[in-house]
Amino acid sequence: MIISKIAFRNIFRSKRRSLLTGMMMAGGCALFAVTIGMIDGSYGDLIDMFTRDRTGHVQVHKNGYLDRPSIYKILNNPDFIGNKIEHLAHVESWAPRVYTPALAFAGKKTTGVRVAGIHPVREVRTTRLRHKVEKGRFISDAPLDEVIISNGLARVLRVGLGNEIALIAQGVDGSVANGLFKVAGIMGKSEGSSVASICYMHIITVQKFLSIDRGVHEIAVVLTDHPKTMKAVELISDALDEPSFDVEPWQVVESQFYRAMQADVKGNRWTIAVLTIVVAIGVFNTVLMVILERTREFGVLRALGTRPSQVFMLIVLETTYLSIISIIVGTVAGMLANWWFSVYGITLSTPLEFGGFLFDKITAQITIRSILMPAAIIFGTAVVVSIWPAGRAAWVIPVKALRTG
Amino acid sequence: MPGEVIKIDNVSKIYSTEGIDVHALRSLSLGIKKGAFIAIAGPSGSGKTTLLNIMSGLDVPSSGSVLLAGKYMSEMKGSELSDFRRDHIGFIFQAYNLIPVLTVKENIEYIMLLQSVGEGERRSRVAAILQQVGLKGMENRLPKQLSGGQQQRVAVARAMVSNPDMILADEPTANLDSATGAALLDMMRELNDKNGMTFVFSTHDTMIMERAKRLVLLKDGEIDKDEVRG
Repeated sequence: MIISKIAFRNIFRSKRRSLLTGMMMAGGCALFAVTIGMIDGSYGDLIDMFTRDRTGHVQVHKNGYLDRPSIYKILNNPDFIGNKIEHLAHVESWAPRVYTPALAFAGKKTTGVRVAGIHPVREVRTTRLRHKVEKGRFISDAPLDEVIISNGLARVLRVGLGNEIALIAQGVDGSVANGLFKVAGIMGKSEGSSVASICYMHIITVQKFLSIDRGVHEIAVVLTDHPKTMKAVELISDALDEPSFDVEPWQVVESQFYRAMQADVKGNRWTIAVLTIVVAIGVFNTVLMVILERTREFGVLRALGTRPSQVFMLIVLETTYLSIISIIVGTVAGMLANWWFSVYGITLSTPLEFGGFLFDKITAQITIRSILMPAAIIFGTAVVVSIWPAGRAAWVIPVKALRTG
Repeated sequence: MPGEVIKIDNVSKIYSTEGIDVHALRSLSLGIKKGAFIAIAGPSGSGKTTLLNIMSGLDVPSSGSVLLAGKYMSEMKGSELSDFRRDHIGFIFQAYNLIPVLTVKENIEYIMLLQSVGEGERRSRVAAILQQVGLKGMENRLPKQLSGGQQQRVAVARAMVSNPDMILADEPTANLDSATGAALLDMMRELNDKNGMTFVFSTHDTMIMERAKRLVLLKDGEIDKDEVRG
């Protein structure tokens, strides 16, 4: 108890040094909190952007579809599957899709495209695809011969609203599928290159086009909360209990994005490691200075009968108390900064493409991780770097220490 | 000899500095009885401080033995030696060496707190010793708020309050003016007479030598003169 009391009061002995060390720890803690908050916020936004804009959090396909997409890998009863999924925990909604590669012609321009047949009503409930339409309108509820294309595709084919494009593909019955479709809407610039060649059409129009009756290639499921994805995959797999189906999370569906994100996370770990080293050096330097300046005092404590372990605790406790105060200050500052960034964000002058998606604003998120992780790192670092100087203080030779200073 | 608090037997201390051996103490033997008020004096380099350090277990002799409270000091190490010092030896340093962040009361209590003495016992002992050293009413002051003489009184109180077998005082008056030093010594002598506490001084100060009941003069690490006064 007395050792703890001395340790606490010692913090206020050299106010300027304690203030500087405390500021370094508090600053490090706040910086960690903001870094983690921005990472969580940015990835959260990105994940939310592409899962809610397009892919969903979970997708159901026929076995092997993701690795080798084929118009023949069909889920024959999408409503039956959807009904089974709809009432499961964490599931918000679902939407069926049909895909086929096709050749698109407009005038003298030709390009390869990916046709996506979507259910307009279910798609609106499930994703934000409708909000991507910048010119014209979204797919009508009735199956008309119309198409929505990306801005990029419109440029390649040199078409505008009301123009027609010809699509040629192969039907599942071996026939050549072809037709003319009117451009009803053009999607905006917020989609990156990976989705630039998609043509969206009514699902029934595409099913007829490919002669696949009511079958679909994909069921996209959106969840109430993306961190629940793995749990939802388990629940959906159990509910469907169909070995010929693949139930995959967004991490598998968008593996390119996920890998890019993981690589970025690793990069951020280095940032955190560098910050930790800077804080560690600062704290170590301060504690060592304290030990050198107070060698005589430790000699006196030892002469009076203070055990080496008690002197050791004295130093570790001094660092601990200073780090606790600094962590409280740093955490509050970090949370305030994260709150500010979560509300206002950082607007990028040029949108960045990440894993096939464009984003123009970075926002932060206040998460448990952004509060606990910086506190744990700063606290752990401070305590660890105080161990060696504390050992040095504990094992001073009293008779030599009393001769110093 | 019966009644001896400490028995120093044939102690030598050799320091090696850059390959040269310096004999700080040479086969020195000394016994100190309980209730002694003894001054160990001598010129610089005579071995006073070395003797005090060996008596307290802060330093180890090159040969010979020191027996205090029935235990040979050389047989103890680390925490055991710390606990032994805490329980059997009181220290008064030349530069007071109070713990700067603790108040007068807390400084006096420090050793008792390490000994886990109960709060009631601590309070009554602190009150009594504050009265004895004339610091009543100053218990909540910090060392920096006290004069040198007052700080040394706190050091005396700290050394005495846990009732050690022996109090070792290394030049306790060196940083004090003569009037304050004399007053402090008179107080210690009075405490010695009243409480029977054993005081061992290492000193140059004639005031201490005059007040000592026994004077041991060292020269070149050996006892030159051992005089017991009435």
